[in-house]
Amino acid sequence: MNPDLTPTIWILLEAVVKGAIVIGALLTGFAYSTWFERKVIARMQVRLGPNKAGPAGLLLPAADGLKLFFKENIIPRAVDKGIFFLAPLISMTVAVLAFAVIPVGDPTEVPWREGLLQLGIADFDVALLYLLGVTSFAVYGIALAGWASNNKFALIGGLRAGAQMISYELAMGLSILGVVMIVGSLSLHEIVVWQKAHVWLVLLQPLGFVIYVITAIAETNRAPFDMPEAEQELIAGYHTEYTGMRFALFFQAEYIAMLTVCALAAALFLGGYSLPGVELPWFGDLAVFLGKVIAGMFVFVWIRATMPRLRYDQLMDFGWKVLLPLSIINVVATAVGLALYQNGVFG
Amino acid sequence: MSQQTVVQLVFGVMAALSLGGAMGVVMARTVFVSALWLILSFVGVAGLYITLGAGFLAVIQVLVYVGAISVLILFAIMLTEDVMGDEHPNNGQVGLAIILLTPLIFLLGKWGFTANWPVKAAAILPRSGLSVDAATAAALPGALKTGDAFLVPDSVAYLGRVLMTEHFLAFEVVSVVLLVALVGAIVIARD
Repeated sequence: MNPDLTPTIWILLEAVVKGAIVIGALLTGFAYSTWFERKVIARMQVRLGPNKAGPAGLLLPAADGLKLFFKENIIPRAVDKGIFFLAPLISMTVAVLAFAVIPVGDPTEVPWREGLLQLGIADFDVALLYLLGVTSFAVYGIALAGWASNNKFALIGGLRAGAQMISYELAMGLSILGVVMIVGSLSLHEIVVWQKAHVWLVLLQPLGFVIYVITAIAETNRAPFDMPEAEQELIAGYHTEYTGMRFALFFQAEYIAMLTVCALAAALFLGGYSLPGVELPWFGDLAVFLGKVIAGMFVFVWIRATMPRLRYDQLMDFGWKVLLPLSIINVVATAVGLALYQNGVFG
Repeated sequence: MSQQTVVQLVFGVMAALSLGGAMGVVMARTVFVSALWLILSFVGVAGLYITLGAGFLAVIQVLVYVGAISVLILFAIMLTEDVMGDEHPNNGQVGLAIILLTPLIFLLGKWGFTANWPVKAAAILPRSGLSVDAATAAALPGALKTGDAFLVPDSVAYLGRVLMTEHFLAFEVVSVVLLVALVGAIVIARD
């Protein structure tokens, strides 16, 4: 073997193994997010929720998976077959790809490798932009599904989702910009390290955090912004014509996207995998990270159980006339504050 | 197989993606499918930027062209085209196109291979955070002097500095052009 290539092979192998672990974790996370959501909503509505399959209904996700797997895959005659197959694949791929840059712990020493092992698949100087870029693909999965289904409900659902995601993407990007300006880096790991050394950014960017949370809910098409699948108006929106595993792929993509925006909220505003003033080993980092993601998922479910759905025109007005101007004000205010701070106005 | 071979392999795949996507755009029988091929082509171009070490540019390419412009194109088609409408067959001018384009491709290829391309050191930007000697730093307008050494800035900071100094005029003119387009769109929409 050419000695020149050996490190390259090891780097590739390491990336593949880390990727496999993350994908496995995301699929498990998806399965238990559905269980978690049902349990929490049931509690909020004074019901028991899933409790038959296994202890506390813990085997329900497995039963669901088995059911979806054995369902007949119906392909309506009038669909555009190629795009009909492609759409759920795009949704799922994009959802998984986005997680690649999320740091889950400090780089750690390991016995089988020189140097430190990055916890997280990759970290590079434009990681945050990569995440935004990859998630901008997500709109295609939904819009194409709506179009290829050749069904008016699906088409309207797909168009709504597309318009909604593009509108809220802007405000989301601008809300993150404040964080980037303060830290001076687009690498998520560096943003977390900065927060470890200074203070959680939610304290410096409260408005940015609120805007991020609202746009994150809209970007993942969750209640109260779940217009694309408003069942009273659109049956099930863009995935009306999908059954079995293809439907499951959309479902998975939605929950994995939720996990990703929760992880991103933790990394950007809530100190990532760190706790203030405590230095933890790698499994401690991981536990803190998981705790923050679960807390985020709880907020998602809480909001869904509490808020009624918005009307479509209200949604667009809110995005363009309230969130976007607010996020621009936030960016300008951050810039002014930074300039004053750097010139020593605050001592 | 060295690291350079791997880079060349990636380059080949990305070039094939962008060219194949471009072929798909002109060969597809429905305008909707054409638009989808265009997205593939954009992704290929973004990949080419990555092989050149311009990750920031690649991500912006995806954000702007894939995330925004292509979505706009697809929306325009979805809202105007008769959904699942008739296919548009080829117009029978393939032969003519081949005759006209062959010399053009030949000339472009000849020019591309023989031209004396100005190679700037910036084209192979060293990894950010490295310190380099004064000679290399002179070719990198964004290099920061820290003590005796010169520090290579990360690509984003580098791009920002170059846009705001060397290419300031062009940068501002482009933003005015975009503003004019925006105002124009609003005027047309109000009529």
